[in-house]
Amino acid sequence: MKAKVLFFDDIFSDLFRKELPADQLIWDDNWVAALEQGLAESDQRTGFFLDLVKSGNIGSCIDQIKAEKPDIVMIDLFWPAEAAAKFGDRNLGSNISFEAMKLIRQEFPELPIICYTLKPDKEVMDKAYQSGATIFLEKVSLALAEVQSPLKYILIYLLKKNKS
Amino acid sequence: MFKRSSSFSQKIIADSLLERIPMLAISGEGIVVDRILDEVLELLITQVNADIGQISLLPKAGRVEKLRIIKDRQPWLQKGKNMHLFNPCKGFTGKVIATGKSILVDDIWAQDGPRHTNPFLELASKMNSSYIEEIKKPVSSIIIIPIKRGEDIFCTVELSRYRSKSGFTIDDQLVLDEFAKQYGSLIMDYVLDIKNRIAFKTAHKRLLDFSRTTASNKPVNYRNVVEPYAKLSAADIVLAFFKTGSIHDSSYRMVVWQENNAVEILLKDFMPSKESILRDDIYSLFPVEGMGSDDRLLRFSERIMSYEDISKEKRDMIDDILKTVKSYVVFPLHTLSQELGAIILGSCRPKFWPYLNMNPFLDLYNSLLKSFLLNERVIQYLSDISLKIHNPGYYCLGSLKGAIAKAAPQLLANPKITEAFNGLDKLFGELHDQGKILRWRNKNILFVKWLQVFVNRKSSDYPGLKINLKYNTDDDYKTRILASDEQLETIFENLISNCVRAIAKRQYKENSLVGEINILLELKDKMLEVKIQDNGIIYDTVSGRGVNQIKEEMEALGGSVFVEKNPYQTNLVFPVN
Repeated sequence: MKAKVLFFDDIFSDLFRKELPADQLIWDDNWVAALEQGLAESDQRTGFFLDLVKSGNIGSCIDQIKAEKPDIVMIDLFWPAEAAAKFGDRNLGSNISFEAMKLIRQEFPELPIICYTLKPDKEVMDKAYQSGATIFLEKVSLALAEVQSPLKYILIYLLKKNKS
Repeated sequence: MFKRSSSFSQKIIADSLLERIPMLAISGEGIVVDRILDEVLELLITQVNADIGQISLLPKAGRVEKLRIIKDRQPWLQKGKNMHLFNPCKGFTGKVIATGKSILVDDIWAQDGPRHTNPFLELASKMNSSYIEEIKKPVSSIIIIPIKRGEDIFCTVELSRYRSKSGFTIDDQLVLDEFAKQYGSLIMDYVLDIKNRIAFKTAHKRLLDFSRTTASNKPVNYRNVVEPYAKLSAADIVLAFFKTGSIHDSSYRMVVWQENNAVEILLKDFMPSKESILRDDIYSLFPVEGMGSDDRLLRFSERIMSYEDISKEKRDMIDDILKTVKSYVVFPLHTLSQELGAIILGSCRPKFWPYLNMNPFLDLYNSLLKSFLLNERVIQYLSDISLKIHNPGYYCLGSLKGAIAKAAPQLLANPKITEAFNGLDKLFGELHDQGKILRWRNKNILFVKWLQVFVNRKSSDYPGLKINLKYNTDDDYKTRILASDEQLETIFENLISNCVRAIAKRQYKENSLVGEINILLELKDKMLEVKIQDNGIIYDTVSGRGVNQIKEEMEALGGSVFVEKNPYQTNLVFPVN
């Protein structure tokens, strides 16, 4: 079975990438590579082929969903560069994804949304669920495909549940 | 109607004026100063049959300005039209300051003679043209009397007569001297006291705004921050530099203030010169006094003119302004070896340094501003640490662990390695959380209770005012809204200030009026409506910023504000949490 995952993360955002020097961005890119590998590794065994579409443009999430027609959406919680541009406060990075999830929920009530971040707390988890997240996860920063791979099974579960 | 006061024995009776002054001063608004000065000038004009009267302030530190000019019994100096004395050390006023004595001049337009030069003619061409045309040209005879504190002249009163009339006499001068000696300092000290109270309110409001900004997620309004320097000092031009950006950046927000206009310019990647006042090294010496076209100003002007990140129009504007500066004093904002910026008070008058020093209020404001700026920066640095730990810190640690797990997995079984990783993880966690503690967030506020405490505080600030807070039901009382204290304070401070101004305007006409503000709360369809009414009358808005601030904050809270004109009532609608 094939499925498309639209993956919004500020790691792919131009605003964010302009801020960080290349020697610091490398750690983010390592992590993304591990994640991609983790999701791809078990294609043959699970029978699920996940097409990962990466985007850093959370401001136009609705248009992108309409264009890409994903089966599932993954959203990183914290967008400091976008928050600095929008609210003048980098610390309000979570508000960017909360607003995006609310918009997505209004337009696409059934679309599964995975929201995740590094070192979350109860407050952001509750707000993520209130904003429309289907499931909230802690991002694991370890850049190892084997560690990232279990995410695939959560995606499969959500896809199956949504289809049934 | 007018009679000449040329009798030596005639004395100005000021008893009724002295009785009225405290009554006039009750409201504590800016209009009070004008009213008192009008009455003083009216008394003196009538006494010596003058046509024009003016009162000027010339304190060392503080605004050097013409406070009030009355011509033909009507105020001539319009509100908001600031008129600085061109140079209090020159002209006939300069002679009064130099001798400490009043002066009687038969004809201020008399040509220089072989023995005497006319000090006024030397200045006339540089003075404000409408002032020359309407106040100076029609008159010939003037008397200027000094008002002193001890030997220090901090104020002058000038009376003049149209040239069609006979000139003032020595007797007129003596009677005015006697008035100045007996009442001058008493009255003008009182006026200064009121002015200081008003100035203190301005500085206080700006500081409150600033502290609320510090406690919120809003960017600092640097124009507002600079306003007290322009309003409370003798400077014609204020140049303010605020360092901005991260610890390794060297960018500045520059605010240029001239004649009630402020322009904000971002100087990105602007590295201060070696001897710049924006640097604070062990050789730096402050405050700095300088003069027009000195090395510092020329160097800065050259840098601005070659700085291409701002438009040519702005470069030219700064250059023009710098050229008008004839003397200046620099007050640094550096604190605890943080180079935070500097304030430059400039004057278009040469050697004006003694007047450019800050008065005590401005000095206090400046000190507090420094600590707020430092606070703002420290918060920013702390927040940066937290964000850096979040990314790339955790990803870097994750990559390192991943690389070890792949290349030498046995190392992860080594307790020394795992302990080190755990230690790093814990350390990152602590630093990450410490950056989060200073974050701004809304609170679930029991609105009526909050407003009751606020009203109690305001009732103490304005003892002559009745503030009534009414709500109907228990549900109204239990209503909670999602907001921060700072947002609510900004909204209600502005509302109460507007009410006080409207009431003061009416009290100007009706001395016995007791000011009253009514605040009514009502819960309607999950929205809380707050209606604010006062018994004042429409007044000219000072800046209009208050209303904008209210609108901005209400929108940020997901609410709205609308005004009904007849009767005047402000309505706030808050979403209920």
